[in-house]
Amino acid sequence: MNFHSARFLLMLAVAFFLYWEVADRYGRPGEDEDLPDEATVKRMMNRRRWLRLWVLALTSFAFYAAWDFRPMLVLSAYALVNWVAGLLFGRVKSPGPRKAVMVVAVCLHLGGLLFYKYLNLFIRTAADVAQWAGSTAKPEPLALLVPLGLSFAAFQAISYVVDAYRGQVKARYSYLHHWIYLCFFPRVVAGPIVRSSDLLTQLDRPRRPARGAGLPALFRITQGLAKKLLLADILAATLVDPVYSNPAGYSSIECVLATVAYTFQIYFDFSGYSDIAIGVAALFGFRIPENFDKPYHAYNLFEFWNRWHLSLSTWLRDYLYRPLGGSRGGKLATLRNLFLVMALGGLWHGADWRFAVWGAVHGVLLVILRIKWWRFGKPTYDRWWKVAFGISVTFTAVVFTRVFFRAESMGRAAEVFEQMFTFTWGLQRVSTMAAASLAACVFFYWVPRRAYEFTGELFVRAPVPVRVVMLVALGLLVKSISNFETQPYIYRQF
Amino acid sequence: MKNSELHLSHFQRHPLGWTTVLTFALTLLLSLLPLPSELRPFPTLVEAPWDTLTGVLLPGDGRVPAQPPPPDLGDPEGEGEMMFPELDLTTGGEARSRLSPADEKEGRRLEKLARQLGAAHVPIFQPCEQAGPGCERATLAPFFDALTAQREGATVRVVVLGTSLIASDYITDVLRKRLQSRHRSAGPGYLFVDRPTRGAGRTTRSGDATNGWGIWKVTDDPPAKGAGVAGVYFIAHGERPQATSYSPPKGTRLLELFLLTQPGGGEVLVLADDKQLADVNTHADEAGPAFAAVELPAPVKTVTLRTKGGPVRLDGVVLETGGPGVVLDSLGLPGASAVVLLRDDVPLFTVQMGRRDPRLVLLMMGGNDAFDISLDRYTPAQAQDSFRKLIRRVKAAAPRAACLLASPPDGGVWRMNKTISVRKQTKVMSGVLRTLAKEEGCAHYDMQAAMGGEGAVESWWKAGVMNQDLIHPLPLGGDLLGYLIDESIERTRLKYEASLSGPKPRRGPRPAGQRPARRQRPRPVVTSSVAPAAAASPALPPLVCLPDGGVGEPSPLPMPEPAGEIRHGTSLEGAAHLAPFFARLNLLETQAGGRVAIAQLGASHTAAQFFTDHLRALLTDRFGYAGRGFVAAGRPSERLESAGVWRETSDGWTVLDAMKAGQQPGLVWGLTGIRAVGEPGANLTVGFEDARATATDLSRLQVFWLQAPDAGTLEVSLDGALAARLESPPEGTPASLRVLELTAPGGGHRVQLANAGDSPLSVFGVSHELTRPGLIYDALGLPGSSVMTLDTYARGPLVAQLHARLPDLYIFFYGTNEAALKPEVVVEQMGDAYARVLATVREASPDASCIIMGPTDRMRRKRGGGWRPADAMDEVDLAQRVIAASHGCAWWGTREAMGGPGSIERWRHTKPPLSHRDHVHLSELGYQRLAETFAADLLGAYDAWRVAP
Repeated sequence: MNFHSARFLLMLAVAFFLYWEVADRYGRPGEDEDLPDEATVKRMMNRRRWLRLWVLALTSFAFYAAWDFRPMLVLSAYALVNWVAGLLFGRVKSPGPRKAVMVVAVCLHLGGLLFYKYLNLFIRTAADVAQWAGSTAKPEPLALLVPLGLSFAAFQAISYVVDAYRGQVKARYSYLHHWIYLCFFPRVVAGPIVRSSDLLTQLDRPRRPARGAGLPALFRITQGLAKKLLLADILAATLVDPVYSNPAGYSSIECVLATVAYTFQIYFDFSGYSDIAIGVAALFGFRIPENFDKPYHAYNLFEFWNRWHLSLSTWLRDYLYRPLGGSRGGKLATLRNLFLVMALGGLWHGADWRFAVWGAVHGVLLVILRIKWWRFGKPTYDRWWKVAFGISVTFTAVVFTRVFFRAESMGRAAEVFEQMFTFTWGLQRVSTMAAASLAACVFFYWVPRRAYEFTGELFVRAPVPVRVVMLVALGLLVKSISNFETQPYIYRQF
Repeated sequence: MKNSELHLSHFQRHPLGWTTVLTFALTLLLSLLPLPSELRPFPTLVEAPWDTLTGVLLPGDGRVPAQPPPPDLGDPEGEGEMMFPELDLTTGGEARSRLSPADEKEGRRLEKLARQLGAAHVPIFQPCEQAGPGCERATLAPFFDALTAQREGATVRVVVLGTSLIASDYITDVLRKRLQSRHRSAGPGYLFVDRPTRGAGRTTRSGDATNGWGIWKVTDDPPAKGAGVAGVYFIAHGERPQATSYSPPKGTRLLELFLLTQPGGGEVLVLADDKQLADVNTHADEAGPAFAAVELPAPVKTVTLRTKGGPVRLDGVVLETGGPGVVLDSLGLPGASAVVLLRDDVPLFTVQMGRRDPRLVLLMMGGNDAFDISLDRYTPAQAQDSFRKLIRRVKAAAPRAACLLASPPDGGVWRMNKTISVRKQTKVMSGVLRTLAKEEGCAHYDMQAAMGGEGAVESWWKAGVMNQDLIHPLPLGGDLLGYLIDESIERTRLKYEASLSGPKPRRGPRPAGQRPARRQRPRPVVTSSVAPAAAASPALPPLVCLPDGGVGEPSPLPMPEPAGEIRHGTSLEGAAHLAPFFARLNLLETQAGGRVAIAQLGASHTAAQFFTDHLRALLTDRFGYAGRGFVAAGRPSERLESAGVWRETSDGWTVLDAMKAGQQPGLVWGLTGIRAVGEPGANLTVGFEDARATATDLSRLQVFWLQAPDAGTLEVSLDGALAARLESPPEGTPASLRVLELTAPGGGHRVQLANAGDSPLSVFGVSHELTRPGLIYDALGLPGSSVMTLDTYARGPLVAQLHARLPDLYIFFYGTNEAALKPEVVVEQMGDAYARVLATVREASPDASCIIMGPTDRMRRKRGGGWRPADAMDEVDLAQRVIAASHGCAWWGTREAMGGPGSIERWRHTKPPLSHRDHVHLSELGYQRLAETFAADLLGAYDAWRVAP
């Protein structure tokens, strides 16, 4: 079920009503009950808490099952592993066994990820290698149903196991807690990756939005839908997809422009999704961390990764880079860790070597940058031109590496690069609509955050009728320029 | 006031709820108001409130409306014998009466659906293949003739190449069923080993295969190499035996495996109801296409193929009855387009298609091309170019087949607002295919128009007969398309039959290749054999019967005739194209009127003179002799003497030819591709000692030379007396080819050409004719040349020379040299060259007919001894055949006349030998035998033409 479907909005309204009203109503003492004493209050709150959890669980199940319920068995198995690991952590105090539990649980999570997501890639690769060696064997791909959002679930599950092992989060939660933690519908498909310390603790104590506090959430959802439907999808339909389906048919400058467009498309697509996820979670009283921080404002690549897909980059830092030794093991080890984390992080995005290449290229660039800093010192960005230069270089690196990310195959990526370096300059095949949508993306990206906040405040403070007119007008705008095929969320495939 | 405060308070207390509720209310209100649709969020809410609401709220993913249910067509039973009588075009309901009652009933049901959907019975567009007072022969005539002939026993095969539309045999299943219902079934035809996309689609056109078969397709990324006619092949590796099973319908008697032999290849066990019938060994020293046929017992429920050892490559399996009827092969490959199918291996495609020998090839493609064009992957012009190449490849491989292009069904794209946008490129592709049909001689069926025109996809979707992807019809939609195509074909056939039976101008004889076929009996195959596919003759060649019934090994080339024997009377195709020539022959024969000239252009077979001399003698015996014809300038040659021609040259002559000049384009050559350049003072004499001439005859002589300002002066002496002195023209005059005509009494003459100038002089030849009714046969051969060589001659001078000779019939005897070239390039080169050469010769004599003679059988020595067919033997043979058909020429199958593949080897071992040991040329006797066969076929066709009504 897509966030931008009427069906989702209907489900959301029903879930919202059940979550806050029905759970509250049935969580209260009955009319024939005595005035609540402390035990009654506790019982009442406990009942309300479980009712809400079940509403969340059923809503999450309905949301996921609209696609296919079977992969939920895999996610349920992940939750089971975490629940059992949590029980064991609660009982076992010795470091050795605790570590063993953690290792086994992490291996199970990674095993599931490797099996469902990467096994076909490995088989295909082995067959290709064998073919180079003269074999004519051609194994058929296994018909595995890859669970939607498996990569996010696996990383999130690992984060709980490691955090529980480290004692950073309470070990004992119910199976339902663990299940909701992995399958919570606002984030199950494409993240953000929420730490157990954030979400699990909130499950027991959701904060009811203060009066009027739902409106910022509504604004966030609206903003996300607009990013997706009015910016990302149209840019994809008018410029990115045509060029990337036939790079040889376009000039160098058109290929570059399409790659720049894709850079904005993926930002508005994914950040739009994150906006909706954050907004929807907020309606239910949950705070989900931000995922983006104006990433193309970064003036070096390290900073870019501190602004882009924050939930992933911080996860990689905390659960991969640092356990590998981080920057504590000498320069060579630091560089190795840096490269390894980026290459694996790249491969996390998809079962195709081009994602690994994309990550590896970023790793190499970070390694070069790190060496340069060691050699010449970290640059200061104390002049506007230094900032501008840094942003330009970083943005250029991000744009060109996006080719690997967007192209359907390494061969197609090579075609795009080849075409870029034919140095042909025409822009005849960029339609007015494409140019306008790219310009709109650039404009809305560079609008200061304060302007968004100000717009949000206007939206919240506006009288209800004005707000209603604004929402309907936005819907009509989407309808009027929606003669394009809808696109799935880019990060949904990961 | 109080109420207002209460409302404000309510708004303030529940701003989110009120915003949500009022947004919904405003949305609803705007949708219901009579506003422009741009201002209505759900414009269809008034007209179809329930559908709109369910469409918005219930469909999966919120993206595409739910699949509408299929229509209820009711039971057409009892609605009258002919529900739509205006569709009955037959006289006496002939066609419909042949459909089975069940098919008739199903047809009425589908007709009802067609009318609900606004679908149309679109006529098939047929460019005229042979114009006369009307259209003498339409494009689909070969197919319709074959359908008529099958009543006498032949199997008519239809091959459909297509996309995912037919990959599960939708559309084609109905087409097959109805064709077979009308004309009998001759079996299921070509079947896959497994579904090309394993696990997807129906298994009606594939075996029930084990999972270990490797599936290789031209649609793979990267595409599989070496695919044949189906674009997909299946490999079982040696480590684990694989199997596939079929359930042949009742009456199936023949099974044929399309496979590839290879070094170390394994075996295929053929089992019928678990009883082993044959063991086919696919091992061979060299990889190559092969076929293995097995007779099936009757009855048989299950046929199983089981591999054993080594890798086994199996392309497909043919199941047929071997009797009369129609077979329709449905070769659909998801993702196929013209670009994709051009990845097929050309020789293998040619051989396998030749083996199927269809009478109709239906290309049901273009949808993927439309999609690719919509994404700017390529342009319509590029798609057209790819389709053109594919059509030519198909025609070269299936020369006896008519070709029908079916453009893609109407397609659409979902918009984000869940409305349907038409895929405009579908119409573009339809236009592309219509253009190609005109240019390449194919028929065209517009499936988009049949659906109801551009935009019909929406009504098909709403009627529940179109898939959500708006590209593929659902099964019922596919049935309807199959029905509509069949109806259009049947209507076209009925019109064709009516045109044949109605009054019409005199028609030529039935082409030799299209006479009613003899009834085919199930072939007497007692076991399997693997016949190398070099035998790409149109009909399935006889299969070798192994006496012990044991393991079949790769057999030598089929030898249907005893060594050295020639098949008579079967090798001339398209004799209808010779009608103008026959008319002149007839005039000459019956009224002793006029001159009939034949010009044979060729290579060493022609230059050797044996074939032409003998043929000249044979023909002039019947039609009268009118002179020796053209003789090239050159050195003395014994070969000419048998025809009473001699040549003498003084010193100072250099004889150039187009071959030695490296086939440079644009050079001026004589009709035989030579130019004799004489130094000042040099002279050359050509003598004609014509024993058949009398003193009362008047000779007409022509001298061909190049006049140029810097050339010498030509002195022409006739019988020793100076007849003409031709000075070189003034400076600035362009060089031109000149023809001097002389007349002299009597038949024997001596023509001397002398260079009386100071510069070299180029002369080309002399011709001799008698001005009396009779036939002249010019032998215009250049050893080693090909039609591509002829194509390099400067066009203007060639036209001038031919115009002077004014032939009534051109015979092109090329191909043997082409057969030694690379198969992958020679076919295209020949196609282009013939197109230009035929245009040139027709410019010289527009009314002349033409015959393209196929190449003589040619072999080359194998490493380590033995002989094998020349590299491009089959391709050239087939290509010339299709070139002849597509350019309005008759075709004579020289190799077929010699006895088929391998005949040159057999001719070598006759006593006396009929061929030379080089396995390229024939002996004098061989040429004479060939000439006799040719004459017999030509005169047989002439006689048939004369007696035809």
